[in-house]
Amino acid sequence: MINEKEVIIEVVDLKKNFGDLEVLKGINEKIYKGEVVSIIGASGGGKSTFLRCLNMLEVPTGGHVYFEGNELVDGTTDLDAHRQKIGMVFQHFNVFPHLTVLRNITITPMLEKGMSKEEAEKEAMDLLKMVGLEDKANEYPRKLSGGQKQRLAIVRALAMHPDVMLFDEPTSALDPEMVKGVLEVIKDLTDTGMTCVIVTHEMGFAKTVSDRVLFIDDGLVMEEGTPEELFDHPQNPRTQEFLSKVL
Amino acid sequence: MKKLLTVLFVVCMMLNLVACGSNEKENTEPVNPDTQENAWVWDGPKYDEVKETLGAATIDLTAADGKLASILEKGVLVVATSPDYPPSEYVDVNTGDIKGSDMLLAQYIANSLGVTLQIEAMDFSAVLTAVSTDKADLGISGFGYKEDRAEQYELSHGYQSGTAASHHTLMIKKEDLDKFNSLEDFNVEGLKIDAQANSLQHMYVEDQLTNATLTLVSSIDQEILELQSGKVDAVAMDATTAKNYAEQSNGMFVSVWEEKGIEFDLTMYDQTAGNVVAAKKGEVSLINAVNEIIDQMMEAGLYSTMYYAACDDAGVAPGDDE
Amino acid sequence: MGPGLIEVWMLYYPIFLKGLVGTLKYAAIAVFFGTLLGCFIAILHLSKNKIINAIAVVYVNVLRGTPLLVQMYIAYFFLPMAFPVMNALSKEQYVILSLILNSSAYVSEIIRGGITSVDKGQTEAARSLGMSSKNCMMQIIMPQAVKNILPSLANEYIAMIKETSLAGTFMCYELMYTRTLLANKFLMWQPLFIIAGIYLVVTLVLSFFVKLLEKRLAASD
Repeated sequence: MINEKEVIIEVVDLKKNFGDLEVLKGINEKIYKGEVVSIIGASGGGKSTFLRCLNMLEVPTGGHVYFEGNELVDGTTDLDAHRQKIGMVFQHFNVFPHLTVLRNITITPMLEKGMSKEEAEKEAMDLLKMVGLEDKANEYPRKLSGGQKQRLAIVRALAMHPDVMLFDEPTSALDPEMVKGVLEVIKDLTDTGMTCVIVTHEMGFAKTVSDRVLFIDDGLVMEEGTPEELFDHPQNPRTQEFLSKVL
Repeated sequence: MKKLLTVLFVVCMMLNLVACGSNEKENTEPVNPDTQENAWVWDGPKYDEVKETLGAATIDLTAADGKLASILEKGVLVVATSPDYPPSEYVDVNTGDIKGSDMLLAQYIANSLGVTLQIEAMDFSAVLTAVSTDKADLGISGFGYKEDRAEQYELSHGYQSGTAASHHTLMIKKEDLDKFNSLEDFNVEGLKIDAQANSLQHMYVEDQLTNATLTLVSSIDQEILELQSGKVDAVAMDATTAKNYAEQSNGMFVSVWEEKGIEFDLTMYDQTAGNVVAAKKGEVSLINAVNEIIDQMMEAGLYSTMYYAACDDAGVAPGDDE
Repeated sequence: MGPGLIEVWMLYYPIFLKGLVGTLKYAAIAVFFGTLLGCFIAILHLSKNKIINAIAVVYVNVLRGTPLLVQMYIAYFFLPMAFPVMNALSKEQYVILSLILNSSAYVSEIIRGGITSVDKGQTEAARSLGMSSKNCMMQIIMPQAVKNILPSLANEYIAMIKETSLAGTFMCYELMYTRTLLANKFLMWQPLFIIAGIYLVVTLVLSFFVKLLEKRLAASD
């Protein structure tokens, strides 16, 4: 299912402390092009921190992060240029409340890529159509429901033509009836071959959408494998304990 | 409750005054007409005319050094003053110009040095600071001669109008007049007296009325307000100023010098008669030039003209006893 | 006690009005340039560089922790001793300089507060899209911070209107200075009450407009 073994993100001995608290204790991991990786685990186990280290929203305390072969941690590379290729979707959407739905999408391509207004808006409208928000283009985000805001956040990231998308618990802050719509958008996205790293509590979704699942606990990757391996035949006692609670 | 009544009383009184004020005839001068009856009249040259025709003293500036040299080089003489003391220094309400007999003297000094005059107005207590920090070349603000002042600054020869008497006294409310028959009557425990900070009267009260409680204020109008509101029993000022304020008060205040001949004892001070000009300590060349200019001015009788013209312009009576 | 309030007002209202214009002018200059300088200080204050940050902290604390009148005296008398070129400034310019510096400290805190009150997620979203820190600040954070800043800034102007009364100590033509002017006419209590009345009317009217502005901004959320 993974076409070639082309590595897009490589993490070597990644460590992160918040003060005295060791959140990541040395993670080694490779994300391959076109792969969909879900990360599961109990709250506070370090899975969100791991994800946020991939685009330097959290600066690691130690170790290396390579994105398409470029080291991000040592501060020698142009972070902004790389971040444009790493889309991120947050638990709390973080749409820009002072900009219209359309402008939320076009502002970064126009400012950072020098895209013309017409081009950016045309592309934005296509993206909005894709997630069923084309009639909201000129509204402000306060008129949108949580699910609509999250779909907007997803296409806002896609407008930068990223090589990889990071999802940080994208449905945790949604009302239950909104979850499905957002998961469908992500599912559609994975079907297009987009590389995705998804931190999620939706075990059913993780099972159906993923090529690979990581179980992160206590700052380390405790177990990894295909959804079948991990969900149906967990080896690590910690994984077994976690799954018995959530499934 | 008592306080509340007092407040109510004051408010009523003010409304009353407002009403009275509005009923009065359209008088162009805010001064009460009563005081105009015995108004002093000056028929000499007017202020502006005096200023235009001041002329200059003839002095030798070839040996100028220090600050005097830099004044001559810049072509500007900066004088600091506190314009709350008519007729010596005050602000023309209509033009905002700073005027007064001291400012005519300043102009005369500038003329004599052949430079332009620049006046900097500030708080009385800031004037001498301005001189010591080089913000101003000279301080001219009705300064009297004081020992400690002479230790800190170069003080010039004294200047005064021919007839102006140098008396320093106290102003009180008229209703209290019976209580005071000598200076010693002011030297009483619990009696409260105001004086302008760093003024001559400040020193006199400190030295001669040791039992009384001295309060320092930054300007003369604060003294008047405190006397009016009963915060203090008496305010110390020079006799001319006291006379003027008493006259303007519609009989509310009296000067104990005018009424009873009470004044501060000046014999105990080794003092130069009249007012002095202050310069920064060590600027001997500058103060010598100022002295030379003042001497020539006094000899020519010029200062009296300046003083009377300023009185006339400020609308106050001169403080002589003739 | 001399003429009544109305009579004094009728005779001298041009002087009071000129004083009021001076007061409004000083306050406007102070807050305008104080805002420009305050933005700069706020940026320093938000800097991650510890030395730059410390400079801003000291600046703000010194200017907010000492009385404006003391600052005016020090600026006027002692700044030119340290920097002789400043002798070229007039007394009024020193007073204005003190007002600007003082205002900038308060404004920088207003701006800093406005910026930090914007949700951290906004910065993260913008930066994760690859937006530069400058664009993120100007396009995403500041437009949202302005809603919090504007009413506080208007209140700072109202506060400054009262603070400028200290300029009268240096005989700069503003409302409080009219008291000195009219004291020369032996008017003692009347100017004070008229001045108080003018301050009160102006600050109440401006406060009313600030309330209106706050309502408008709240409605647009």
